[in-house]
Amino acid sequence: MKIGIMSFAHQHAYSYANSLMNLEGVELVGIFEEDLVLGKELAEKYNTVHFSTQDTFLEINMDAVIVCSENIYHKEMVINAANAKKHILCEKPIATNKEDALEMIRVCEENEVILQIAFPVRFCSPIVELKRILDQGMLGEVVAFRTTNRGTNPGGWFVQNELSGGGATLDHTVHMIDIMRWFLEKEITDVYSEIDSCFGELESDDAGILTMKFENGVIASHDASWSRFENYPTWGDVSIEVIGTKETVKVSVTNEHLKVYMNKNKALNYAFTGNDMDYELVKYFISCVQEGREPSITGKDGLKALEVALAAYESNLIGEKVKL
Amino acid sequence: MPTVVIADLNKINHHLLAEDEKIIESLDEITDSSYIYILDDSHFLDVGKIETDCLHVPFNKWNDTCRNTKVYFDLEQYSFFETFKNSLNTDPAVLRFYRKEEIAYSDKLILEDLLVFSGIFGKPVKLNISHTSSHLRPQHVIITVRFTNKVIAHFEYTFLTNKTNVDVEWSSKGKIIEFNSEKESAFETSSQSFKKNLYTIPSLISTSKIMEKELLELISLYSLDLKERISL
Repeated sequence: MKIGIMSFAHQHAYSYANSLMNLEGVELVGIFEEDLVLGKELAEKYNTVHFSTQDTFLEINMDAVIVCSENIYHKEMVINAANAKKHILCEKPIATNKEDALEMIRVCEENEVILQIAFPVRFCSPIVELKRILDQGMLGEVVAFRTTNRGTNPGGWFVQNELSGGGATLDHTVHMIDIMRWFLEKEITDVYSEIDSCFGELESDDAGILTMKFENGVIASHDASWSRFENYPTWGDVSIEVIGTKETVKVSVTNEHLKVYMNKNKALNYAFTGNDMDYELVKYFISCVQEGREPSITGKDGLKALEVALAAYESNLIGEKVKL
Repeated sequence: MPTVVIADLNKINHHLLAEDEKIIESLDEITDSSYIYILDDSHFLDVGKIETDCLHVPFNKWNDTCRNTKVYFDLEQYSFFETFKNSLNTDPAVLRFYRKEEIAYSDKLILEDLLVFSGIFGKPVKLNISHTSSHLRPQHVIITVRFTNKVIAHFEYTFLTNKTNVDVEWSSKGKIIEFNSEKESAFETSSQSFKKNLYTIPSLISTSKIMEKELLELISLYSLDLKERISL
């Protein structure tokens, strides 16, 4: 299985590349990266070939690509890859607006290639277990969700709206929207939000709190931010609390850790001990390509998560609940 | 004049009662003006008969006919809360506040929490309420508030659940404060039999407030929203 990576602008590209290196029968055959210095370094690091143009990169013999560019370029790269008949794993969010996402989905369908969105939280072991007990009815009927996804400010293009399409609210909302949709198999109908820049003088937002309602009446809160700082014990969190009529269960992914105390500035560090979601995500994508089957996370899932994040921005702007 | 405290006796920390803090069962036992008398809130209807200028009542019992009384709020009686409040700064921030309660939906509980936080972060600029269907148990309420002091907040309540808990997180630039009454506790137990977060009389008296105009206006403002937008 020959895989290429289009852009290392998103830091997840490194994790995905490492995952590819660890998968048997999988070869990282090329990297498209416009930054020539970075591209050369990456080619050496991963023992592969660097391409500075998409055309030459997409001409090589490979089955699929992983797109990790700035959000604004997802559309261009996905469409180019689809037209070159490559299957695609695209970093989230799928796009920066609904129209681009719809076009990406359409072009991939026309070219009969897979478009999977990178929602690795679906491969986190405690989340998978929570889905299992939920499906078995052990929590009863779901009443409400409480979710968080908070991290450190990644800086760079992430805080430039013209490249990212939005700040922390976009960056850290889509994962948990996807998980809640996956759990309930229902769509969100109402979104209310307060969005602001609380943790730095940024062009983009770095904090967003959302309140949502699903079509079956389930309500949910979500806290998305870049509120964590360098000396916080961990990079951030991914958590979901499912309040059910029989039982309530909370899963905090980053709670799987060792507490490591050191006599230095960052006195406490949480050394993560959970499973490698990115590896499982990439492995799953490769298996879908190998077996020619549609992934469980589709372009539509990416679109639905994006719609909620965009509705949150609209709600904050108009000061009212937004209907989807 | 003696000081009289009306309280749920189950919430009072009996271990920390001082010699001059005396639990009484009826008003007849009020004899010494130097004492602080603690009367169970089941006697609340007798408040009008108490001859004192130093009467402290819980907010959940207060109504606008209570004259010459000071009111205390449940949240301010948690031992963590004073430290929490003093640790805050004036930077823009995100507050996430969550209570789990065994009792059924109580607009007074929500109201008093909102009043306490308005005392810190200012008046609400915007407010949104969402809640679950009335036929479901437990009941869940989400209130989103933007305060004047550049703080955005979620207040969440799960009623009719099998335990009580307070969870609060405050995030600002370079400073995060977290508290969970279940986790940050001296007790680790498989049952709920230990009484935690009990009121002490000095805390209760020092945090009691006279219901002045500004507070009454806030009560009207929040009450209207809670009454109009919640049907549980």
